Parts: sequence; structure tokens; C-alpha cells
Amino acid sequence: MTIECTVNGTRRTFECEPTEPIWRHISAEGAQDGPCDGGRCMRCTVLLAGRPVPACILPAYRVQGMEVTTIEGLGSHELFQDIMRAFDKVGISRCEDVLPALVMLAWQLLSERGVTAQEEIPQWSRAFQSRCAGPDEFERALRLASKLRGRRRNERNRR
Amino acid sequence: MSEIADSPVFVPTTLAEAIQIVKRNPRIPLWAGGTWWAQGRSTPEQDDDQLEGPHGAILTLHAIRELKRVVRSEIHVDVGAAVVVARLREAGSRFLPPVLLRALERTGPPPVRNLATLGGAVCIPDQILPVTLVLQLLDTRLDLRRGGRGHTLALANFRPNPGDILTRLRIPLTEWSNWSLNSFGTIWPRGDNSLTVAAVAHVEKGSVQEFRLGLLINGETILRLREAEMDILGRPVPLTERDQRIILTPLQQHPLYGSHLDDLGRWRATGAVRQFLRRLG
Repeated sequence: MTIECTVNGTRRTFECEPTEPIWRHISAEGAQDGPCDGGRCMRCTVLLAGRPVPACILPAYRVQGMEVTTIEGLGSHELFQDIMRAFDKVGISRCEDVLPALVMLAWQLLSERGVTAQEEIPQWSRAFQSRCAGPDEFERALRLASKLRGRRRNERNRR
Repeated sequence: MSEIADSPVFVPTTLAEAIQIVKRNPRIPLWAGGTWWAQGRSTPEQDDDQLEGPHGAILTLHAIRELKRVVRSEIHVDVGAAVVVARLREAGSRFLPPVLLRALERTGPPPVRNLATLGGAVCIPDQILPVTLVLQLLDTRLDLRRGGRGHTLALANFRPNPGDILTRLRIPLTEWSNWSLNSFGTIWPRGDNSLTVAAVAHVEKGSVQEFRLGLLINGETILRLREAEMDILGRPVPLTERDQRIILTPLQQHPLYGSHLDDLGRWRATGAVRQFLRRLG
């Protein structure tokens, strides 16, 4: 089966089984090679239509004609830089483990709902068990990233 | 009817198209989110016959708009089978029972919930999720289509059959004054020795008006105590030790309680149920 989709803004075509997980084909673009194959470790998280999903259980046919963004594809965005600055300040290490998932969850929360989702942050942050980022750190990082984003917007408005 | 070029993946955009496809291929596997089907797909042990129909064909329901609707009335909410769990959690935060919202949060981590559908969650062949237990407690009814005919049945009596398309879940919006959902062990993906204890009750005028309790053991067996649930109705709150035993004794004497739970599981189950009973009123 021929799958056509956009990966990180570039049009891609690949041959695969329709039910095959997509991460094998986009891993060259940066999706981490998740060892679990079951949507547990979240190393392979990508954005599909703006929402984070685990690529290791994402069937290939689901991305037909869609836009997939890996963590590398977010690199040039201001929001990504705010999130990474917040992660650094709070002390979340840049290890490969769940970083893509944490960044993309932060991305979804901040881009979709901004700072209004405060009450949901604990629920989201407790979804991952990681040595690199505890729920409290993630919560603090999200709040800080939302502040940084707001500050950047204000500066732009002043100019 | 749409079919992805040179592939046997049927992507109908209307329910009528999906019914026609299933009529022609009654054994075609139905996919929606694909989260369960795709798990372990890159390991050779998985039985591909179960995943795909003849010639590797599958029918995916994710593009059918009729199955992605949430319609709310005064007494119930109709949720399309292909409604994504994360979307339902967000859309339903103001009107769905809190116990159901909490159960939806236990349908995998957030990225998985962005793919998984509610219909898929109740149809997983080898695992029962806490959301299925809670939907059973809430007396959810399912609308199924087979050929041109539709039928409705209670979730408790539902077994996925080839040729059936689950179209809608009707969830009653009953008012519950008390609820509890406790999960122990690894719930998603299924782990050994996992346990979920769910209970809902409605207390009015100082007595128990409605009471439902369910235990999900190891993600594979649901334990209900329907007779005891009826016996406790009308008892004044707070419940006395004797009234609490109306529930606790049948629970401890249930064959599944002895055979499927280890010592820790039994202690957790009894503790969670006792705590809920004590808090009533």
C-alpha cells in the first residue's frame, strides 16, 4: 500500500502494510525508536493533526493525507523554545525517554487551551512515570512555559 | 465509498456504506482508533488472522461522522462509537457523571486517549477496561447494526460478534450523590493482579435510594453483587456495621473473590468497598 503524508512539512510517500505502525517509516525524521510497541513508553510520540499520539501503535492508514510532526519538526517554533526553556529551568533533563511525550503534551495543552487548563495539569502530568520528570516538575514547567509564552506575546504587542 | 488506493482498507464516510461493506464481508475486522489492534504489531508472535480479514482487508470507522457525534438530552447522552476518548473527556466534563470522567482518564495515557475510541474500548476482545465496568454500573445500552436492522442491548450482555457494528452508546445521566473508583496495579495495559473497584450510590432523605458496585479483577472478570445491591436499598445512612455487612459478606463469599484475588487483592477490595459504605451519607 502506498501512504502519502506530510512529515515535518515535507511531503513523503512510502510503501507499507496498512496496519503496520507508522514509526518505522518516520523514525528517520526523528521519532524515537520506542522499545515497547504498545504505546506505553511514549518515546515515539508524534503530533497527528496537532495532538500527541504514540507512533508505535499508530496504523499507517491513519496518516494517509495527514500531517505528522515529530519533535524535530517543532524545533523552530517559539512555543517549543518556551517549553524547552521551562524544562531547563525546572530541571527536567533532556533524556530520550519521555521527553517527546512531555514536550508534545505541553505543546497540546498550551496551544489548544493556553493557561486555562490549570486544573487538568496534574491529571496529565501523572500519566507518565519517568525518572527524568516527576509530576510536580512537569506541572511547574507547564506553568512556567505558559508564563514565558505570555511574556513573549506581550513583548510582541508592545513593539 | 472510499478505499485507500491499492489497499484493502475500507474507509467509509457514512454508516450506510459501512453496513454495505460488512454485508458483503461479514468477517471483516472493524478498526476505529486501532490502539489495541496495533499493539505488538511489530512482533512476529501476534496472530495476523485476528487482525485482518480475507486478503488483509479491514474496515475502519474513524471517518464516519454519524459515529462521532455526542447528543445530550435531559435523561441520557448518546455517544457515537467512534468518538475519541480524549474528545469525550473534554466535551463531557460538564455533563458526564464524574465517575465516568475518571474512568475515561484510565483508558491509557493521554497520547493513547487521543487515538482510542469509546466504542473500541468496550469491544477490546481480551481485556476489560475500567470504563467498561463504569458504563455497566451506569446501565449503558448499546445500539448495534447488523445488515439493515438495528438492535439495542445492555452493555452487560454484549459480546462482540462478527458482522455487528456498534454505532452508539446510550449513557443515562442519573444523579449520583456518591461515587468511588479505585484502581490498583497496572490497569493499562493489562497487568497481572490489577483490580478496579467502582461504586455509585444515590442517597436522598437519609436513606440509600440507589446503589451499584462492581469489581474488575485482572482486567478480565467483572464481579457484581446484584442481590446485595437490592438489599441495601432503603437503609438509613450512615450505614451501621450490620448494614455494611449486607454488601461485605456476599462480596467475601463470592467464588471469584476467593479464586481470582490474592490476599493483598482481597484486602484492597474489602477496604475500598468498606470505605465507600462508610462515607455514604
